[in-house]
Amino acid sequence: MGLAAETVNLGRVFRNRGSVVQALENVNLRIETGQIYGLLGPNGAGKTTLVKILTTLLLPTTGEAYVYGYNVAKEASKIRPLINLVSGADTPGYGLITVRENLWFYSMLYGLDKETARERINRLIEEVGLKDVENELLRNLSTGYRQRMNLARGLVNEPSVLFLDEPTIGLDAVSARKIRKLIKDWVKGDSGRTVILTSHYMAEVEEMCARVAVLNKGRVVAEGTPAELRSLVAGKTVAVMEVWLPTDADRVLDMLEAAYKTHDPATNIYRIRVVVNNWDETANIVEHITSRGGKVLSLVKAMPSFEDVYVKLVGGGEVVSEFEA
Amino acid sequence: MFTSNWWEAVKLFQNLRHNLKAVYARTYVRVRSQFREPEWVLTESVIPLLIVFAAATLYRVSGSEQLAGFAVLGGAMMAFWDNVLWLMASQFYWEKESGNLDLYIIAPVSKMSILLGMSLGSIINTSIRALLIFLLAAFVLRVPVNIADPLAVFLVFTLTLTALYGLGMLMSSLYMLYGRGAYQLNDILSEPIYLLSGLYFPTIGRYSPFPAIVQFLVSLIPLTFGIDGLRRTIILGQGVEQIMLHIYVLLALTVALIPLAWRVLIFMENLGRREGRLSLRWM
Amino acid sequence: MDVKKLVRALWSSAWVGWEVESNWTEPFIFIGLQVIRPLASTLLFPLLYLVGMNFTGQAVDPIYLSYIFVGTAFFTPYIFAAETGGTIVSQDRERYGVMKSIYITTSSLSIYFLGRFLAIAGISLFSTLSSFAAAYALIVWGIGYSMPLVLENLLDVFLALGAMYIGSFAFFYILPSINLLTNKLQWSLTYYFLGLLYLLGDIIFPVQSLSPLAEPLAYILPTNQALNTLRNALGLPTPHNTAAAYLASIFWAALGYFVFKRAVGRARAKGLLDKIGWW
Repeated sequence: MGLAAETVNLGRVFRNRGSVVQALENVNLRIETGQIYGLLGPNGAGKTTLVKILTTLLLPTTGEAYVYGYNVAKEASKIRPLINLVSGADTPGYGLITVRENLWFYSMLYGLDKETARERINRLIEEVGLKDVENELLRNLSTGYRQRMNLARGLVNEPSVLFLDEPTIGLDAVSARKIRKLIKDWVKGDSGRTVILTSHYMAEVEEMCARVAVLNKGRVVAEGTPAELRSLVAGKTVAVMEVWLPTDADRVLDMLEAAYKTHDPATNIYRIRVVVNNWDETANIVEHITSRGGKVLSLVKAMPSFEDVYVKLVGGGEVVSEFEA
Repeated sequence: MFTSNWWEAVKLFQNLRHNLKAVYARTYVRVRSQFREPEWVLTESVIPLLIVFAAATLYRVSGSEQLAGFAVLGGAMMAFWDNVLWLMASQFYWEKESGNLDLYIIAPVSKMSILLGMSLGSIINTSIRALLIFLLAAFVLRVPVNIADPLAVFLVFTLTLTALYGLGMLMSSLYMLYGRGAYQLNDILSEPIYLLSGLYFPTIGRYSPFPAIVQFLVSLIPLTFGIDGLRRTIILGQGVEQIMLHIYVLLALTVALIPLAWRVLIFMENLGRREGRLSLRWM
Repeated sequence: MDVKKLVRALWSSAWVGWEVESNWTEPFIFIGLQVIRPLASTLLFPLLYLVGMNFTGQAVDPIYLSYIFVGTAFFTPYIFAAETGGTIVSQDRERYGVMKSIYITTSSLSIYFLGRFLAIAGISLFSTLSSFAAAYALIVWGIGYSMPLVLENLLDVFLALGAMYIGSFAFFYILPSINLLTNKLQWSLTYYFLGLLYLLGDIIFPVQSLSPLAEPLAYILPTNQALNTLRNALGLPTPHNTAAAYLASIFWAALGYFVFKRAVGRARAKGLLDKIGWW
């Protein structure tokens, strides 16, 4: 298998009114064709910046990036016919024309001939589940349908590499599941197809991706298959605790490395997960909490999940959204 | 050698055809969108009409009602200027907000084709509106139309639009990286251009209230010579011979503005990619 | 309502208004929007009149030139109120999504709008006076036409300005009331309003010149007598009625406030206070 994308010591700096942000630093990735490749990381990790560079929207500051061997900085015109981008945060298209007309419009930007465009749009409308709304004006569509239309648009040129930037963001569980299935089916349809997916949702990445790169503060902190990444917490245990804490709770929890929490402000009860090397360590954690005025309401032993890997890699203290698979 | 040239020619032809498809598609989107809500053609004609009626009444009240036609033409052409400002110059701002701009950038097509399609669609849509404004205002105000040379009218009108939309493409390219600032710049530009370009009274030539230097500067706005030429050919009954200067100026502006827009578009796209401002919103 | 809380809410709304409208941190935009644009509006019709007179070979009437000049210069506060009033709903409800948050505070949308209006009133006064001075200088000293304007009665000037700002307050409440209930007009409503006033509001000609039947409008609309009072206070022989100026402006302001309260109530009932997108 060849490489769909590759980055060599890639870096990107943003400068704005005196402030300097290192969005990517020394990123080295080799993404092979025929797979779904995940880019995982918290907000500001550099995932979208990386996608923008690979889709020719942004130039690197240092290093190099290639898509199908073409340099993104020097050979953008050779890359563009091979790729497409679907961003979950965007709602591209024109509100006063129909779904079918929007798809036709984008197909023309890729120079498809009339027959090919018609055949492909018909097929995509069927596959993506837009049949009911194909003649609806785009502005009348619900968020779920808009995302499907966006995905169909991204497939209209049959790209070799499809970039998906948070494709299920803001979608309900059922719509998100449909979108994930469509993506998986699309990749399976041809061995030359590659998807590069960014997501906040660990379970989404774990379920869909053959390989994953975890980014944090612009750097790749881990790379491998989900199973390889999971091995980072192999042999460890997770203590799942419900804890009541007094008002300065954050400081108490911040001292527990790799903990993340949900918080009910009404009761000031936190639900935390802490990865421990062995179960005996939980006694120290309980002591840590109670000595600072807190109460441990429950304590349950659990197996480490992919989310624990993520928290271990990018640090604790963050509320992590989950999705219903 | 021959094969290589032949292959280049085929590639060039394919590229041209691809870009023409994009032009057509972008034109289609704009025209189709307008006709999905045709009532807008009428309602958006009301605003220029009200100003035209006010200006024509002022001419009448002051005893120069024979100039009401100037205001009528101004009202019709105001539709084009508003369109250039709000649906050409700041169009990439809207496209950026919805995420379309990213898709235009990554599409394997010249961004100039997108701009050209936007312009053609705008010209078709706005011509309908401008004609409606002109006919309604001319009918209500009983403006005497005195066309002695239809070719002269056609030439001036066509060249005005090519130069004006050339300016629109240039502004669109310049605005590509800017957000709210571009929007505000439009706000700032709208009324001064109404004033300086002579929408309602001549601002170049013998009757201009402005000094020569201002007249020279305002003649760089295609609207100025365009409206003056239309005024001369539609209201004052002049022919091609009397408006040769207008034709030359508009031609020169067209020839300068469209290639300049192209260059600026490429420059701004590269600048945007370098600085990361192409898809940066809420600026 | 607690007066202190009310003043605080009003002050913070006015501050937000100033921040949003002034762009004072970007001097080019500030000068462009608050000085150059009103100056162009102020000059448009006086110059149209001058060119018309020259083109037809007639003598310029300095009184009528001054009539047009004062009308267009002091129409600026109404323009500012109508432009901001006409876009505030689309900005706050649809673009920034803050209207719902303001509505559910212990203050009210009326107070918020009043604060925003005060900011606009302050900015428009600056714009009006600066464009008045600049346009006067351009016409009188730049182009060389006389305009016999003298400050005859300062009290009348203040009275006229008072009536104008009460009238512009009305616009500031009426336009958002309509936009609260429909989002179809948010780009055009302001300009329908202003276009109608250019025709009927004694801005550039007395409304009676359209038709003698239109004369009652000179006492019904808020702009006519307010502008005529000002013209008179500046030494022009314009028939005016200061009491009518106040009556009309107060009537419109009260109507505006009432309509606004009703519109907010109806918007709430119909679920439109946080409605975005196409509807």
